[in-house]
Amino acid sequence: MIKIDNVEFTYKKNTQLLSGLNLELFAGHIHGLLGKNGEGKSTLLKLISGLVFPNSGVINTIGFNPIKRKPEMLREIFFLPEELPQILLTIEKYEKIYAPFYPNFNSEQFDTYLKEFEVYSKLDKMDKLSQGQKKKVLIAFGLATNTKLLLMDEPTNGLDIPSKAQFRRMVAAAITEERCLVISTHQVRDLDSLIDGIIIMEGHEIVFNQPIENITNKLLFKVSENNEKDETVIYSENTIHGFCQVCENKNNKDSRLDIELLFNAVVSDKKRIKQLFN
Amino acid sequence: MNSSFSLQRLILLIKWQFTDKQFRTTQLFIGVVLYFIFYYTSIKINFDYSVSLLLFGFLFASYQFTFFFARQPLLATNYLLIPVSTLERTITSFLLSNVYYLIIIVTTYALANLSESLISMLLGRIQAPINWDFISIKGIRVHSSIEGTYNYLSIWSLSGKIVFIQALAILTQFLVKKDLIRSVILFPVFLLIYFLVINPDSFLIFRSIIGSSNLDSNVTIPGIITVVKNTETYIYLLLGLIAWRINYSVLSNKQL
Repeated sequence: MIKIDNVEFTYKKNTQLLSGLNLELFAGHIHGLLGKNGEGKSTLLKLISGLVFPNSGVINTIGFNPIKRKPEMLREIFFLPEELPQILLTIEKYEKIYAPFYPNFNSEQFDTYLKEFEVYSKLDKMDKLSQGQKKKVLIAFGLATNTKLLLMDEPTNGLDIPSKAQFRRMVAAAITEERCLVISTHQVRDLDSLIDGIIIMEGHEIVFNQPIENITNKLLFKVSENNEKDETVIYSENTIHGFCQVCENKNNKDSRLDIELLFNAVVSDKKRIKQLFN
Repeated sequence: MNSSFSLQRLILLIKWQFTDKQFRTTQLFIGVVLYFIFYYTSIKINFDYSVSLLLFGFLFASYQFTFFFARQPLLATNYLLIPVSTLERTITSFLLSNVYYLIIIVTTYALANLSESLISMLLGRIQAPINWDFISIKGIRVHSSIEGTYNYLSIWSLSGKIVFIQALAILTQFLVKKDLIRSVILFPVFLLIYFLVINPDSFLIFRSIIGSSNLDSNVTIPGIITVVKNTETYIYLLLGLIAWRINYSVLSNKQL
């Protein structure tokens, strides 16, 4: 679905934002793209969709070179930016203007998603909606386009708590074998039980890209009453529940993935994590 | 469906552009109507006819892609991700800033003429005959009181200049990225190129500020002037098309 080979990208002459980037993403999966602010998550999504061009390297997005911005590619991509533009249209008019560009758009699905998000009137003007409401409309629209690739940059920003749960349910239901969804976020809790692959960016490169199954096979997430640091412990942090630890899963025990803990473990000891997964 | 061009996609994009620019288009339409009405109700306006229309068009075209130099180009994201080809984007932009603009001029000109007749009738003045020469090939004669010279103007003679100057307005927006100051500097630079290098004799912008002109439709254009005007229009059309080809290349490589 997406293949990135040795991509370099800079916005300005002296600041290298992404270097030696390699990544391969497959259809039928929901990938979580994690990283601190300014690591290049949004830029990576822009590179994939052809909004910015790499300085070197090759990107293949659903079989196309994104810098060509071919209509055949663009009609199979829906990109939800973090901040939304001012749209001076009603929801109904928005659908009327944008939907014909997407051959697989399903109006009934759009209506269903809107209802699930508790957006009941399509006659509301979008610039009168709150940021959260506007985001709901665009998430619903994006899912209803049935594009092969959905890129979402911080989709849960601005959503209230029930809507975040609703978002997870809707996305999980909308993903098919032909679709691929990449969600960039730093609100890792919002991705709980939704994603099936985690990509972590650190130091302007991808330092971790693994399916959930692989992660829970190789790592053990546990809470310990004391901070015993045996050789298997990779990362430990003190919480009110005790010491949350990420350990090597030497005995193949089952544990529930804690994305936030995983992120902190990867960032704090990249080398060890890399060795463990290679 | 062809990868580079599809009529269906072109129509969808035109609809999108119209919807997105509804407010600006209405502003332009009202502006040109008012301009013509004032002109034709014989209020002395010290602006040259053609310069004013070119400036209107320049401003109109200038609004098309302002989102490219916004600090957070969210509309640019929207625009670049619409599933159409660069050729379709360029053609839509061309149609909107040229063909559509010329239609606006012609429509508003007709409306202004009718308004003038109506106002004259209501005020009990001698009703002036409706002057259609501007939208015919024949053209109207424009007299500059300062230079004491005559110029002949028609929608046809304006069209070449419009195509060229609109292309420059669009190009400015493509070349400037997230920097309003540079864009402000670039606009007059392009205007100077237009007025000084391409058309040094007329220097219309300054004449329009200090001079005045009157319309006279009763004089027939001599054949030789028609030939000169036609050649000038063809040259401008050619230059305009070259500039639009450059716009296509720049838009192809446009990034956020």
